[in-house]
Order: sequence, then C-alpha cells, then structure tokens
Amino acid sequence: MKQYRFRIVISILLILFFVYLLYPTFRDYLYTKQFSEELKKYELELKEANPEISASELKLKLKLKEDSLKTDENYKRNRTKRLKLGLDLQGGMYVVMEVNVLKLLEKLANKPDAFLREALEHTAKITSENDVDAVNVLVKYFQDKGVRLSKYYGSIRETDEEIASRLKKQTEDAVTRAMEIIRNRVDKYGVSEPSIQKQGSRRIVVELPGIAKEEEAKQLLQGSALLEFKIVKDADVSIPIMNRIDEILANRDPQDTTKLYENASEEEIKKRHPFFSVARIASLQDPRGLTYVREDQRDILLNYLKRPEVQNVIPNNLEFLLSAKPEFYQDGYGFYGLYLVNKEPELTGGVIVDAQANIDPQTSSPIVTMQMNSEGAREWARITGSNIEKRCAIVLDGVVYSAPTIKAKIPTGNSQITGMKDLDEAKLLQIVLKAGALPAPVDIIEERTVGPSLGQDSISKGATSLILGFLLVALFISIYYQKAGIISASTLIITVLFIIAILAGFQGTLTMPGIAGIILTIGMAVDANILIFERIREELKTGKSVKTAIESGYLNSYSAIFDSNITTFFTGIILYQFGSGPIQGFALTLMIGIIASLFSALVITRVILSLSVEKTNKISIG
Amino acid sequence: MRLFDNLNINFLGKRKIAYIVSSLFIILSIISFIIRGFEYGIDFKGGLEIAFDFEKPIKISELRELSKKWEVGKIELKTFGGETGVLLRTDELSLSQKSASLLKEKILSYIKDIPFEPIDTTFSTLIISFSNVSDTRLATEILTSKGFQVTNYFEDETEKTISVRIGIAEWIKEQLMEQVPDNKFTVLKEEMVGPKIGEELKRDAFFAILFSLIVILVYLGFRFKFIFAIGAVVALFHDVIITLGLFSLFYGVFPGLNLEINLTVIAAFLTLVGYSINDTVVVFDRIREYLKIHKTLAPEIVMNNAINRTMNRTILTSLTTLITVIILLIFGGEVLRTFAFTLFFGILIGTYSSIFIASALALDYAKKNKKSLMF
Repeated sequence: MKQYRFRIVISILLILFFVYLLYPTFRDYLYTKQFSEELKKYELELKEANPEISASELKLKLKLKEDSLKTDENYKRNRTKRLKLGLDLQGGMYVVMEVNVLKLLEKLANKPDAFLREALEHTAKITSENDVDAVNVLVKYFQDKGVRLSKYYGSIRETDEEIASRLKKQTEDAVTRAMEIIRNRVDKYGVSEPSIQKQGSRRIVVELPGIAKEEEAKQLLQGSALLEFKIVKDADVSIPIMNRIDEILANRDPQDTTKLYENASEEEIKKRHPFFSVARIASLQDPRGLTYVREDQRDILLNYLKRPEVQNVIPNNLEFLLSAKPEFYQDGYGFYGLYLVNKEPELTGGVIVDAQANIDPQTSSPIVTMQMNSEGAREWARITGSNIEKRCAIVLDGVVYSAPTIKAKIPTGNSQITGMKDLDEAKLLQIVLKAGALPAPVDIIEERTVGPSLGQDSISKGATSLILGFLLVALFISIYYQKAGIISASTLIITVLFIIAILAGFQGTLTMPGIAGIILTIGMAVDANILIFERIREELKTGKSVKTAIESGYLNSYSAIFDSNITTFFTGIILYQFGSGPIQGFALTLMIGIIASLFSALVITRVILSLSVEKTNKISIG
Repeated sequence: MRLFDNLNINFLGKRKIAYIVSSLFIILSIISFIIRGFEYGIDFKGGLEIAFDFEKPIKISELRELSKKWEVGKIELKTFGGETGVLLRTDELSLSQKSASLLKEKILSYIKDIPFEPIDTTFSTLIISFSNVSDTRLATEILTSKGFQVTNYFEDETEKTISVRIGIAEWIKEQLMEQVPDNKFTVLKEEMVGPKIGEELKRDAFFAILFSLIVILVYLGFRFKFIFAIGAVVALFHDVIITLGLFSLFYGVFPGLNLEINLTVIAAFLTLVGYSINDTVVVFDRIREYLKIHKTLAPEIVMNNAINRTMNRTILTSLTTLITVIILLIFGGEVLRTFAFTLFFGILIGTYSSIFIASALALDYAKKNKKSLMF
C-alpha cells in the first residue's frame, strides 16, 4: 500500500481538480435552465396582462428581461468558465471575409489608366490563387514592365521602395481597420463570445455563436463604416437628463429631493439610484461632467438605456454613446466613457483626406494630425469656431473613439489631436479617422450557418453515441478480462472526465467532431490496457508470480504504447494545424484523449490492479 | 476468455497472396480515381449548400421536379437526416439574368405601397432609393422579414438608399415558399464556399496527409530502422488508397450514404493514418524485441512469431474501436456518417495491412537490398 500512496494521492487530487474544472459548466447549465423557466413565466404574465400584445413588443420585452437576468454576477462568472460549445452544436455563423485590397490600390492611384488596370488584374489573378501580399505582386509587375511606381502612386521624387512600403502600410491598415470596424459592430450587436481573428495577410474569420438572423449579421459585417463628428453635451445638459433617468428607474417622485450621495449604505444607494450606481460621475465640480461605466456594469447600463420609459426622457436630438474601449483602469476594472451627444453629426468622415499618428517632437507625446478636403475644412472652421472649449466626439459606427476638446477655430481643416495615452492609441485613432477616406470593401468568401435545431439534434445524437459506445466497450472488456477488465472499464469514466474537464478548463471548444473524438478515444483508450493485459497473461504463462507478471507486463509494454501513441499524437497536431473550427475541436479532443487514456492505463489502472492483488496474490484477468 | 491462444500461422509464407490481393485493390482504386474520380463536398468544390427542414415529410423526387422550374444551373437534392430534411446544393453562386429580374420584380412588389425609385441593379444586388428615412426603414423591415438581406447603400450617408441582395439562396427560398405554401420550412444550415477557398483547402488537405506520412516515416526510422519505417508507411499508403478507392467506387451508388470528400472526411483520413500505424508499431515493437533475443533464428520465423503473439491485441483493439465507430455510424447522425464510414473501412484495411503487408514489405525490402533486419 505504502509504495502506491503517492500515486493514489495524485490520482485523487487530479480527479478532484477535474470536478472543480467542470463545476462552472454544471452551474451554468442550472442557470440557463432557471432563466428559460423565468422567461417562459414572464412571457405568460405579459400575455395575460395584455392579450393584444404585438409580437415585436413581446420580443423586445423578453429580450430586455433576458438581458437583465444575464447581468447577474454569478451567472457571468460561471459562464466564462464553462465548457464552450462549437458553432456546429449551439448554432451560429462562421464567416470568412477578405478585404478587397485591390479596390483600395485602385483608389489610391493618382490617375488610373489601362496599364494600371492591367497590372491590377494581373495582381488579382495571382492573389486569388495564393495568399501572397498584393503589393509585392503589383510592384513586381511594375518592375517587370519597367514602369516606375511613382507614375501612379506617391510623388515623382520617391523611390519605388519608399512607395511600396507606404502602400503596404496602407493595405495593412485597411485590414486592421476592417477588423476594428467588425469588432466594434459585433460588440454593439451584443453577440456573446464572438471570435474575430485575422487569417493570413488579408482575411478575417468571424465566429458568431447563437446568431439566428443571418441576414442581419451579414449586414452587420459588410456594410461600410460610418465615421461622424458629434458635439458632446456638458454637465449642465447631461446631469439633469441622467437624474431624470435615475428617478424613473428608481420609481422615484421627481419632487423627492433627497441628495445624491448622502451617508447611505452601498446597497441603499444602488436601490435608490440604480442609474448612478452604474454611471459614475467623476466629479460634480467638473463642468464637463465626465461619466464612466465599469466594464462589468456596461451591459446593465445598456439595458437601462434601451428601456422604452428611459428612451422617453432622452430628448429626441440627443443620444448616449459609449467609448470603444475602456478609457482608464482602476482596481483591476476598465472604465468606459459615457457621452451624451447630438444625434445629428456635425460632419461625416468622408471629408477626411489623410490622418497621421506621430510623436510630437516638442512635447514627445503622441499626436494625430488630420487633413480635410476644402469643403470639409470650411464646415470644420464653422463648427470649431462656434464650439470652442466644447468636446467633439469622433464616432465610428456609434462608438466613441476619442472626444478631444476644441481649443480654437481651425480654419484650414488641418487639425491636431492630443491627449492619447501612447502611440498605439494614436495609431488606432489614425486608422479610425481614415475609415471614411479609404473604405476597402470586404467580400464574404466563405459562410456557414448552423441553425439552433440542428445543433440541438447533434448534441443529443452525440450524447447517445457517447453513452452507448462507453457501455458496449466497457461490457466487452469486462467480459474478456473479467476483474481486470472491470477496473479498466471504470477508469474509462475518468478518461472521459479528463478530456471534458481539460477542454473546459483550458477554454477549448467542444464540437460535433470533438464528440466523435471522445467516442473514438473510448475505443482506442482501452488499447493500452489490452496491450498490458495481454502481456501480463503471457508473463503469467511463463510461470512468473502475479506481482512480477504485472511488473514485467507493464515494463515490456511501455515502448509499444509510447511509440504507437506518439504517432497518433503527431497526426493530431497536423490535423490541428490544418483544420478550422469543428476539425480543430476534433484534433484537440484526440490529443487530450491520448494523454488521458495513457494516464488512466499507466497510473490509475495500475495502482488499482496492484492493490487488488496485494493481499490475495491472485489476479483475475480472464 | 481468449480469442487466439497459441496461434501459429505462417503469415509471411502467404505474403505473395496478400501482395496480389492488395495490388488488385490498389489497381482497382487507381483506375476508379482516373475514371470516376471523386465526389467533392462543398468544402472543396465551392458552391452553395442549404439544409431545409420541412414541417411535413417531403419527397425528394417531388422537389426535384419542382426545382426544374427554378432555372438555377445544376441542383442536387438529397435527404438530410430524416424524411423532412432536404439538402440542396448548387455549384453556381449567382443567379441567371432571367431569374434575377423575376426576383427583382418580386422584391419591388413587396414594397409597392412605399414610394421608391430603383437606382441600379448589378448581378447580385438591387439598389433602391426612397424619399425619406422612415420609408427606408419601413422597406428594410418588410424585406428583412421576407428573408432578404438588406443593407444601407454604403456611399450614401443620408440613409435613403438601400441595397438588397438577390442571390441564389434568396431566389430558392422564395420559390419554395411559393411552390409548397402548405409545408413551411426552416433553414437548418446554409453554407457558401467561394471557389478560391476550395482550391486552397484541397491543397492543404493533400499536404496535411502527406506531411503526417512523412512525420511518421521519420519518427519510425528514428525509433526502429529505416527498413521498418518504409514498410509501415507503404502499408499506410495502401490503407489510404484503398479507403479512398471505396469513396471513388461507391459514391452515388447507395442512396442515404453520402460519400463525398469534405473536411470531416479528411480529418477521418488523418485519424486513420495515426490510428492504423498503431497496430504496425505494436507488431514491429515485438519483432524488435524477439530479434534481440533470438539472434540466430531466421527473420521470417521471428516475424511470424511476433505477429502471432500480438494477434490477440491487434484484433481486440480493432474490435473495441470498431464498436465505437459502428455506434457513430448508426447513431452519430448525418454529420458524422461519412466520418464513421471512413474509419470503419480504414480500420479493417489497416488491421489487415499491419498483419499481412507491413512486416512482409520490410522483409522483402531487406532481402532485396541485402540489408540486415537486426537491431
């Protein structure tokens, strides 16, 4: 017993660890069930209260209720740690988009003619066959034909290298911008756990789980971005409006003049001032009335703002907007800025000719300069002139990227924006500002949508197959190897637990092929056991004692087990590299399955087997 | 319980027969590759695939008849899952002129109560302009509810112009709604793969399989001897080619069994490569062990011994894996059926080749090149 103590402790600790990793998944399941029951109840209530309720109103109310349920802290915590299901199981949309760099190159050219079109066509052909950099292909074509790049791009004094590197930079920016725009919109749309990734040099892969309306989603992804400049309202306008919202949310009488922050407990404040407990005013003295929302309370705030009764008190010409990213961090939380702005934009992004992020040599702080066309500059002079000391929000697709204060009238359109934290932030702003000037269209080149019913069906089929597969294999080896078989069959449960727990713990995704991988692993996992048991039988035949037979049975099987499993593991790695989405899920479970089954066979089964023969010195191995 | 106790079969003595059988299958497979080729799925071929689920059972033959009126190139229809499911596929990604204009009329008739002005039509979009924003929004709502994809036209910032996609999917959905009005349907999944992606995937899949074979060759060459690695990898090629041969020979032969090559099938092939090598490695491991003990015995005898002694394990492991694969084949649903099919036959062929082919090839290769098998 003593010699196994360490291994027993390790095994038990590991099993406990797996249970710990799977606990959030279990809690999440309970929460989801509870929520759907509550929503059903609420729907009945609504229908009872108003039998004439329109479908769209019902939907809106249910959505608001659902959103407010989902702001629960515990729910969110478990949700992030649960075992995630792939798009093929929970339904959703997978889209591969390609930024049309060629359109951009055509747009950038000074005076496109037949030769340039020919060059671009050639580039289009090459780039459609391979994922190579379009600028490289174009430059090479120019060189082959002996034409200088400066004929179409940049100025005559620049060398080909300079122009090429600038073009490259611009195409890269276009891809970054497209990603930023898409991320922005997807965030706003409220898709939970979206994934947006860059693939290769100009492709963007977007995964939107649980999207039911694909048309809406496609529209979301493909429409071009809208850049606007909007004047921000100061405290004198914003605080009274927020006060009114707070009153409505707390069901407070406007005559009730209780002060905002008196000596009350936090809970009480939350109850009396639901809006101000999430929308925090930095300082009541500051005339700008800077207001922030902690990142974990952002959903609550958006939910408040969406309510019809709240919408009613916001003047028609104004709207609340949030910043694109947290503006500062405190106590481990990011804080988003909340802005009350004019709904009607002062200016839209089409007038911007260029924007550049730089380090100001005098102050060595990052600045962004932007230039406008003459029409824009005229407007800009008027706007800046009449709004001095006010803030002007730079809004892309309804999200604020920056809200610099207008210091003086800008007559030429050449403006400087300061106050960025670092050069990265300045670069982001530069990319955003160019959104209007250089829209590079994105083409959808691959799109897969799985409806939720197909996903549900797959889950139940996967579960049936998993249970049946396990039972049959367990039965088979239990009959064949008797007691030793029963031991290895029961460690199969640990193997399956191992795979699912590791997937959940390391943010892996379970897909339908992934479930197939687990089922397949059950079949293959017993391989190590079979190898060992057969070997033990052979050793017993040569007249060895039970203990030595087990000992040498294990020892002699190691090399075969190791060599055969590592080759499977290699193909798993290659598969992971090659595949996408569901296939990667399969490769992942296959690889974890190999480790799990080896652990079960070499450690757990062995300990139990050794312990069981400890006293009796007999083995039941069929 | 024991399956094969004291088994003593002269496997290597019968290797000529095994060679002939295997060669026949390989030749047959290759002939089929050339003549019949493969049926590629949407992943590789590109195109549009929509899975519908109707409320009531629907006959494929009936739908096929109806689909002739759609005038959309070549349409393939198959059952998907049960008898209410239909899988539709077409290679074309854009509509014909005639259908497009019919669809346009249809779209315009939906918004006929709103004053509008058609601006422009390209082959895949219809651009419509309205006099004010609320009209635009109303029209967007109506068309979106009818299942159309509506976007604000991007060069217009006043929100008075929209573009409506007139793709094949829209057209087919519209036609179905009209032709079978009493049998409503939901769209289970919709996949569109551009032709470019398909070509890339085909290349990637080829290299993934090739690369895994090379990795195995290198690893086994390192762990055993190069002679053995060659034997094992040729046996793997054998398994992959014959299994692929089944795909080529039998696609379209059995209704309900969809033998098209898609991403999941490639995953199955890679798994097959990784799995099928196991049996061979176990046999080789035993040969290595016996060769070290019995230095004077003829290699044929040592190899036969090794194969016979490991036979129990080889058959048992294949059996347990086959059990799970059969369950996937029966209960795994449409998505995993082809995956399970590949593994089912792949494992059978792989087990056969690790018993009859892999060691035999190593032996003949060694004899021919006068190389020693000894470690």
